[in-house]
Amino acid sequence: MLEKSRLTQLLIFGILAIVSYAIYNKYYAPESDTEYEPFTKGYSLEGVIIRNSNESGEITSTIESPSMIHYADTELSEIKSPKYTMHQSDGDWVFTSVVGEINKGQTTIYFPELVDLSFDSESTEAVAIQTSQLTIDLNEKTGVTDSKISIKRPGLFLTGLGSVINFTDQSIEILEDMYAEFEN
Amino acid sequence: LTSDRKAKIVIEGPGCVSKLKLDQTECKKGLKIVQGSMIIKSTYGMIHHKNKGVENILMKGDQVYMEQMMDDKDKMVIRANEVDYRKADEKVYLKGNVSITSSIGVTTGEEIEFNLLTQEITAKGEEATQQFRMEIDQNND
Repeated sequence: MLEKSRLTQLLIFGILAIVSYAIYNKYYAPESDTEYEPFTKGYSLEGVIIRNSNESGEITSTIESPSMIHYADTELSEIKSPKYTMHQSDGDWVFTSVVGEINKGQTTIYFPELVDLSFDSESTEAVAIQTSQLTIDLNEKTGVTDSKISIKRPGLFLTGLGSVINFTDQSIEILEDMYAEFEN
Repeated sequence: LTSDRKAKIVIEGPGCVSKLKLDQTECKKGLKIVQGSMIIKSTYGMIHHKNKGVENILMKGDQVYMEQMMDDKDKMVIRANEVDYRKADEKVYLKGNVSITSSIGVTTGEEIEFNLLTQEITAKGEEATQQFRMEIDQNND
C-alpha cells in the first residue's frame, strides 16, 4: 500500500514539474536578441558586400546588405535592406529597398517592395525613379515591372503604369497611362 | 491666353519611352498636351526636354488637333499633319493641310508659322507650293 502511494506522489510531482516548465518556457523565458525566422537548411551572412566581376575582372555590380539568408531548398537568397549598384562605363545605377531576392541561377534580383533607383553620371542629368515589384535581369541589364512608376529629373516629373527599363541604353518605357509635368 | 505661357506643361500618353541619354521622350501611341488653355492631341509625339523643362515637341497625326483660347475669349482651332512646338521661340510650325479657324475666319495653307505670343500667322515655305488662303468673316470685324 505504502509503495503505491509513493508511486502516485512521484507521478503527481512529475506532472507538476512538466507543467511548470512549460509555463516558464512560454511566458517567462528571456527572448533571444535576434528573432531568426525558422528557416530550412541553408546559411545566413551578416554585414555582406558581394562584388560581381566579368571575364576581364571588372567589377560589374556590388551588393551591400546588413544580412542575407540563403535557402538551400529553393536556392533563393533573401537580402535585407539591400543596396545594389550596377556599375556602367557612363555611370552607376543604385537600387535601394527593404528587401531583395536573388533567384536560383543568380540571374535576377527581385525587389517586391518599394525600390528607389538613382542614376549618377557626368553626361546625363540626375534621375530618381521609384517603383515596386521590379525584376532586374543581371545579364541583360534590364528591369521590368507591372507596378506604378515615378520618375523625377530636373524640371520633369513623370508617372505611369508598368515599365521596361534598359539600364545600358538608359531608356525607360512607360507601358500605360503616362502622365508628365514639365516645369515652365 | 497670355497666362498660358507661364503654365506648366502636362503631357499624357498611353505608352512612351523616355531616353535619358538623349533627353527625349517618344510617344508612338500618341499624346495629349495641356498648357493652360492650349490643348494639342496627336497620334505621335517626340518631346525634347533638357535643362529643366521642354525644349520642343514634334507631333504628327492625321491630323494633329490644337486649340487655344485667345485673349478676347475667342477659341482658335488649328489642324495640321505636323505640328512643331518650339518653346523658346513661343512659336508653332505647322505643316501639311494646315487650317487655322477662329472667329475672324479660316486660314489654310501647306506651311504656316503661328506665333503664340502675338498670334501672328505667317506663311512659310517656297512660293510655288504655298497656297495660302485667308477667309475673313465680315460679320466679325
